[in-house]
Amino acid sequence: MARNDQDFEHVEYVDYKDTEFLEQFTNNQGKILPRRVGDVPARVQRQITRAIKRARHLSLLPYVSDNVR
Amino acid sequence: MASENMYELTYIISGVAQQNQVDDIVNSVNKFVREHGTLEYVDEWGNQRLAYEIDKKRSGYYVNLYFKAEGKVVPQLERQLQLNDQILRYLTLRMDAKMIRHYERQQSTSAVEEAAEASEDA
Repeated sequence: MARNDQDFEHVEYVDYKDTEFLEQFTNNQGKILPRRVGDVPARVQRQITRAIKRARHLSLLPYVSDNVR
Repeated sequence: MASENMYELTYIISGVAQQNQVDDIVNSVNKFVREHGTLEYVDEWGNQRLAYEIDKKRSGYYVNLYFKAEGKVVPQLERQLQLNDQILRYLTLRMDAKMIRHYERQQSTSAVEEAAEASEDA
């Protein structure tokens, strides 16, 4: 589902403020996608997870986003 | 002189606060940082919608700043943020080498953009 056209090698630091980028790695409920879905290198996945949790703390990203069923 | 580190602080001021209150808070934080270290850059994102309610508030005024200071300054600064009811959330990060490079790259690109904008207007 999460396509990743850009290569991850150039990404040195995942910034928690960069919500557009982070949103690619959460599903519509706001959960973090597993690495195998986004096909993300482990190094980057760890940074993404840390950034998402920081963004959630600052309410930039929802902990649980209620998708209309 | 104890070793100085680079920190990134982001905090949210309640959306209900009037503009003068918001400016007071931002100026007081900046003043505190300038007294105890060097304030590198302040970026105010203005009023944003929150992803979820904090303290019954739906929106908040985001302020993001980068500064250099000694380690012992940070708890004092955070104490000030805690005391202030208007500040809903804050997050202070010590910047490691990667974050600093990322920050510098960002600064240089934004500087280039500003220069480009300036040249366009001229």
